[in-house]
Amino acid sequence: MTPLSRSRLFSILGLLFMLLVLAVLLALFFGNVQINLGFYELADQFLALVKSEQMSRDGMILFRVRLPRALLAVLVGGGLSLAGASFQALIRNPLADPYILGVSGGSAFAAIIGMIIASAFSFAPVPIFAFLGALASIFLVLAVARTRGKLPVITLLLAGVVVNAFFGALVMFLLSIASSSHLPSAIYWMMGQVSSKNYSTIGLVALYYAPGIAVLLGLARDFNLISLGEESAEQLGVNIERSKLLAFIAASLLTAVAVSVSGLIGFVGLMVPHIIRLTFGPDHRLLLPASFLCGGIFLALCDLLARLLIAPAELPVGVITAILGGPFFIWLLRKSRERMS
Amino acid sequence: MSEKTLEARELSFAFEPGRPVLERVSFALEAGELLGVIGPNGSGKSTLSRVLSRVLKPGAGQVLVQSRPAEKFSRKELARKIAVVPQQSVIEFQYRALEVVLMGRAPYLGRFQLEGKRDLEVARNALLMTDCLELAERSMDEISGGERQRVILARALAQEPEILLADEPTTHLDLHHQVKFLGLLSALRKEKRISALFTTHDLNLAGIFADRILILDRGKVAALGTPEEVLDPELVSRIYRVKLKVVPQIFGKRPWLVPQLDKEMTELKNYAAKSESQNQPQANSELTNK
Repeated sequence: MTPLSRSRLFSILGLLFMLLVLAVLLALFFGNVQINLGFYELADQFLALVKSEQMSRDGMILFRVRLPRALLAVLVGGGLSLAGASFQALIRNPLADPYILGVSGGSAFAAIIGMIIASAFSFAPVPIFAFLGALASIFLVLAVARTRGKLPVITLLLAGVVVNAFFGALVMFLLSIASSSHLPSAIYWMMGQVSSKNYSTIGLVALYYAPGIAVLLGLARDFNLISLGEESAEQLGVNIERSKLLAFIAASLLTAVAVSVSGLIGFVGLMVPHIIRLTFGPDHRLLLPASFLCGGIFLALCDLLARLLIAPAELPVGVITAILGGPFFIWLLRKSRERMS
Repeated sequence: MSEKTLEARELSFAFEPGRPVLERVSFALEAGELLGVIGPNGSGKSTLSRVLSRVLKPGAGQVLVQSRPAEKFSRKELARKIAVVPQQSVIEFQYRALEVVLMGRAPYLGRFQLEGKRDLEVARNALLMTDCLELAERSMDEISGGERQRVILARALAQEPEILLADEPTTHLDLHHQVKFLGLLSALRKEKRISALFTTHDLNLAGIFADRILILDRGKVAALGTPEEVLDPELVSRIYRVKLKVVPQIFGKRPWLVPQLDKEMTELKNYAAKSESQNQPQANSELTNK
């Protein structure tokens, strides 16, 4: 195997992108309602969507319900995976994940406050509230977990669990006292759910994501060097404090935006980067974009399962990711404990 | 006149106020010079190389790189001048050796630039020099501690530095690779005029390979000079609190110090004799007990 070259990078990412398109198509054509549209009718309905004209029932289901939902799943899964891979690089530990670190919990709590304020004043930028909540909780977790200048895995995981439980309780408290007609349900917040949003919401998510993704991809080599230890990274030319701060902010932004449109979906950011590392190696210049694409594929498929398993009812997609992620986490914990001893 | 590549001027450093780890350390490393730094545990050797590479900021004094204050360099510029081989490296995630060595090229690459042909050539050459080309495709957590140390050295060489700082580089190496490592530093200074500073606990290896030796004692420079001048049994004995004597004429004029263990040896002999005489009846009594 040769080191990372342009052709290797782009062929792998190209392949993953095609798989992503395939996953979205699967999510489009499978569901509770059977869709029977020919190619021309499909094209026709798609044009109607673009021109905002009257659509048929099948067209509505495909392009106003399933497509935006699949796209949202792709964005949420991709954002959480990229954030997970970045947290893992920063903390130098494969067990990190926005959910496990408590970042998601903090975002959810702040997002709800944002929504309550939004309902009172008819406007408040919820993702920005969520972003501040995410930042506060990551720095809280790091401060709690830091022991004599180091970040031991155990205290880090414990701090994450505690912060998550704490914010989870606050979320439940707010949901109980707030008049909840304009707030998403408790299930949405505690288990995570992708639902059909309109295209402007999806555009907004993409817009919030853009700077976060750009910053993290730009830090990919710094992440590689940080794997050698922070001191070595510094001696190899990384401006360590600046890189870390930027990365924490960017990863928190992605997490916050994902949480404010889908609640607490756990373990995606843990599983996806790990599988990519096993397949393509740990080089972050490939790992980060590949994590985004695979996270998208993964969550789109999980959401498809969530819609199909107990149709016509639906499961929250977070149930699926947690059922897969729990055992995965335990396996990973055992493996990294073996390595440490 | 020889040029100074790295100069420490009155460097002081303390982790907590009132307990200095380095006190007014001054010396200059000349181009193509190999400087060995020795001193007891806690004398400030590791801290010195960390201050020199600007991982730690000196409390007072200055580090000059090619007569320019180190803080005037950007991190990246500095990484093209100074490469560091740390005492221990824990590498997270399973990178292959070649990937790690290629990381040494980072100071020469733009943010989104991938390594090119020449970078690969430099990396392979570095692996060749440290005798681990056959490890290139191996994962870093599959190879032994000594092999890892050599790969890390190759990474430092891939930086094409003018100054190499190595913190106890030979600690994890077997005898063959200890000699080879220091021989390599020695060769690099001749061929590429790379100056190197290495810390070590092995006085005699330092005495053979280094051009000059600096002895640190409780953060202060206790002696600085050629091995013949510095490896004075009386001075070193006092600093290390072990009685040392010189074994003459092993390597030309270079001194070779060994601990004078006459007292310990006699004690050891007495002890051995005593326990032997005790063991005999003990073994018998065990037999009779059964």
